[in-house]
Amino acid sequence: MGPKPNARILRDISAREMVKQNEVARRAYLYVARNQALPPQVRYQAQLQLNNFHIRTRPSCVRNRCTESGKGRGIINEFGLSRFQFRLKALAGELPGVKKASW
Amino acid sequence: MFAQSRRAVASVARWARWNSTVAESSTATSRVSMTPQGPTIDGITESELSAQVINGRAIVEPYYHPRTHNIPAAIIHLRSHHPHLLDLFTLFLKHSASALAIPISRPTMLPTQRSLWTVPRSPFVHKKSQENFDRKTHKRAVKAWDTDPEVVERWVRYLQMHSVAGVGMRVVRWERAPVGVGRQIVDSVRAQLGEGETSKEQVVKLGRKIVEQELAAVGKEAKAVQKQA
Repeated sequence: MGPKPNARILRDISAREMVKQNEVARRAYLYVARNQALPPQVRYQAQLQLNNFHIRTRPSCVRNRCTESGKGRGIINEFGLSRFQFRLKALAGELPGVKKASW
Repeated sequence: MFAQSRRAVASVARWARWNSTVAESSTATSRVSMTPQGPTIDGITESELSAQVINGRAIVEPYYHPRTHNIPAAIIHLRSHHPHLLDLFTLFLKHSASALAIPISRPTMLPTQRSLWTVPRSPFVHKKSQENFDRKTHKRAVKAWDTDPEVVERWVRYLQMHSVAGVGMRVVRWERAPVGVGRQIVDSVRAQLGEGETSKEQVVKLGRKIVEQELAAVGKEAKAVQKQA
């Protein structure tokens, strides 16, 4: 049971799918656009094609979100949880080996 | 109670002797005798001894077989967040290696990795009130020498079969390759690629052909000269 979906979570899911579908084509156009051995006309056309892609096909549109709450900030990468969900789970003993520490 | 403990001591001593037949073969041969079921010590076969309940058998340090050739065969890394489980599995690993006559090192204590996280207690703001969490990863390493790759394979499979939940295992194996293995690989690759001889070999072959032709021509001339004469 994941988080209750909201617009940001749905946007992230859609972005992940679109990036996956268009990854090869995007990389190919990027290769042509940045290849200095090719004529400038071809490179320019490739750059125009890159601009035609949907904004959510850009890999930078994908952002890590908390798997429990869907929060977009303060994610602890190792567990994929936001800092508060991490604390709740750690205190409940649901994260193997994670304990309260003091020093 | 005293008699029971004495019996236990005797059985542990017999078990220890079983595990040290390799080391002190000269002293043990007098007690060893062969039967259709295999070798026996004091009239007890190995399978019978294994079936016996010997209290405290597991806490006895296993017999470490001596290395014969010092050739590394494998290294096993264990890691866990729970040191007690890790020690238990390390003990199991040592005893299984002893039973399979694999010369191993004493388990090495690798440095414990400690990951720390500090998070605010509240879901929103109040940064001044935070909480610390940590996770320790305890590690052990055991080396094995002078063992056939098949034996190592069986040992690892046995360990995997009886693996403890919460203890991870990583095995690095080293196997001996025959002399000229590099040449064999190159030849097989060349055969797969369908390439013929190299330029050097072609030159040598052509050279031999030319020499043969020249020699044949010289022989013909000599015969012609003989006929004329």
